[in-house]
Amino acid sequence: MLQETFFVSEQAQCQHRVYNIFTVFVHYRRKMKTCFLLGVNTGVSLIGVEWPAMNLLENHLNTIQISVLRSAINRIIPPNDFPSGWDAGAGNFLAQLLTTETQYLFTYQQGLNQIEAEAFLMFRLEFAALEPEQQDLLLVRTEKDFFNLLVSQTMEGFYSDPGNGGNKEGIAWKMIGFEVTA
Amino acid sequence: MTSYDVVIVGAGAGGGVAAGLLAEAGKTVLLLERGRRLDFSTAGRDHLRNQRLPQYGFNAGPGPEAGPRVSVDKNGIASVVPLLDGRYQNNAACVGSGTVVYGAMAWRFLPDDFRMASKYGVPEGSSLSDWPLTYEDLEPAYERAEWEVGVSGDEASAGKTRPRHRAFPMPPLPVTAVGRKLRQGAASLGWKTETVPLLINSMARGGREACAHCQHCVGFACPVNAKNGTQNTLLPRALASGRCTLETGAMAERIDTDDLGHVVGLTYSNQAGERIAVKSELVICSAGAIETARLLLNSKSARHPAGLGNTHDQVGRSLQGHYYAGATGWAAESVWDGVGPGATTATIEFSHDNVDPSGKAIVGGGMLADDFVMLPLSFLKGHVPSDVPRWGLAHKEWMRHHYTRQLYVTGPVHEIPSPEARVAVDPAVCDKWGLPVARLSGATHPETLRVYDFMRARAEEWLRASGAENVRSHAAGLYLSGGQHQAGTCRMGHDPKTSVTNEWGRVHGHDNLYVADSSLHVTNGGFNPVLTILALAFRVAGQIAKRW
Repeated sequence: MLQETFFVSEQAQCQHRVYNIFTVFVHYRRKMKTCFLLGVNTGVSLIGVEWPAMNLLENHLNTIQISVLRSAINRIIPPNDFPSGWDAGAGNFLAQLLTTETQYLFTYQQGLNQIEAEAFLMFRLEFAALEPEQQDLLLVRTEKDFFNLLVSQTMEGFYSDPGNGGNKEGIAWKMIGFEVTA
Repeated sequence: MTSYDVVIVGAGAGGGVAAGLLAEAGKTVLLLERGRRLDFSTAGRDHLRNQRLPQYGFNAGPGPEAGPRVSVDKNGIASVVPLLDGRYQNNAACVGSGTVVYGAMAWRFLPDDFRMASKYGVPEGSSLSDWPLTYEDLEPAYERAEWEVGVSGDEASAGKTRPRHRAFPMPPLPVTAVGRKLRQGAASLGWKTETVPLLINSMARGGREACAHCQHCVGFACPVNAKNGTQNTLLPRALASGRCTLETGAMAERIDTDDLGHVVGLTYSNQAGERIAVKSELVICSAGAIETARLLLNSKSARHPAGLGNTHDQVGRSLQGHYYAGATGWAAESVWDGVGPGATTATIEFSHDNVDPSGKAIVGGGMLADDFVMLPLSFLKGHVPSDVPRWGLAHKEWMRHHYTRQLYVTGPVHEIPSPEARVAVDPAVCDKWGLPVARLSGATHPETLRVYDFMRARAEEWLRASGAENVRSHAAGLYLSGGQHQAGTCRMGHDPKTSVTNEWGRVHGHDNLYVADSSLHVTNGGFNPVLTILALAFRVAGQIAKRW
């Protein structure tokens, strides 16, 4: 029913938007309940990442938010013959950052929720399940301040020193040719 | 009440030298520093928290305890600005201050830099003025700074523009691949170049090693302690005398005066938060151009209702730093050899006697040089052209193929000072010690922008001649500049109506109150200012020691 009426008129879209967001909310509740049952936040990672600080990320963001974050970071820095942003540790970097710089936390939670909601509104799918081109389309539609922050801090995670939690084994530096000799 | 011969506020370039000279001259010295002691391990190599790229904090201070400042914009709107805001105009706060983490360029100002007003006339609305001393007057102090702190440099070329009586104590550091390319480019234009003089050991000296050519020089402490600052030269001398007490975590609150207005001591808060008043025969302010002015302005009394040395409303005026003119371009192949510190090749062809394309004279000029090895994040945040996508695979591939091909020259522009660019103290906002914070307002004089535009055109020209493609530079607007090169707020001069101290750094109207830091600079040169700060401290403290 929703899919049929989704692109009717602006007014109808507005009305449906309210309904759709509600649907998304229900979806979150279900998902969270599942997560709870599976024991998230007890140190068991659902997302298959071995970074030590990932447990910290699970303190700050719920599983859906983490899943959106991971997909978004991998579009901001996609893999080539060097790892993607997430695989190089940008998520681990953010886990550390959001622990010390707590002023960004709400912006992340809100921004990631919005991306997931938009994915359902536009494509009826989770953001993580979309095609890369669809993800990019949504990312450029994301609220500007949040997206700028996300791009900027993803880059920080990828290109700053490994001591900040990302740029695993200096992989980004190897890619660009910044070699530390002393 | 404890009593000292001298209390010095600030253990940076100026205060460190003053402490060393006066303690060795037999005086008891209390040296107050609001920051902490730093070394290689405590300064760290955090690419997001360092003096070069303070995204989330500084590695050489101050920390959040410093409190905010107030910044007034061009419409007169005041904002409270936090430490990490550029408008805060921060400078390092630790033992040695910026000299622990600087890039350490060791330029003498040129003879003409001391007589800007005579040479060019005074642009309307500017406070441009001659120094009350000449290059020749300061030359012996430059020489002491070069030898007692330690400079490596290129004797053959330096002596042609800055007359010298003694060679550099150390030969220059090696030239990088970028430097060699730039030298060829300059030669094709008929421009002279020289190796950048640096306060870095090019050979083992003073019980410390030679430079290890690491990639983390500017913004960080040296892994082999080859970078020379006051913390590893003059300050150890001061402490070895047994007459210098260094107190860290200590915030100077006010300079105390008696009923006649005579300076009798100073009150500060120590690390534990206790307020302590000490007596002293003499007080020297070396807290940097913003904090020195703030301390004088906050030391109000019935005899000095506008603050010390401020009878003629001069303290805090003509705050200046450096606009940096530069250009970026791209070599066809990698030019990165990673040999630190990286600043090797400069031209001072354009420091003076320049004309703009319409034939009108430019007031002053500047120096251009290659840069220190650039952190990948600094490159990403400041050097990606606007037509490159900001994210995605295209951005990643661009980063991959351009970092090692960058050709970049930049350098400080000799600023034309404005008396309205100033440090005051805020009537409402106080720090955690209850002291009114610095209130910064105004902007550089518009003539500075003409110098800036002239210099960035030279930077572009140099890069093109060196084989760079897609050369770009950017326009600048009027703003207040201070930051790490802050200067000028207690300028020297003969006339108390237009200056704060005499030519020996003694505050007008006082016989025992001195300034020994960049606040003294009448103009800030088209060069990194630290060797001049060191030299002035040798001159000021040397004279005090000689006459006392």
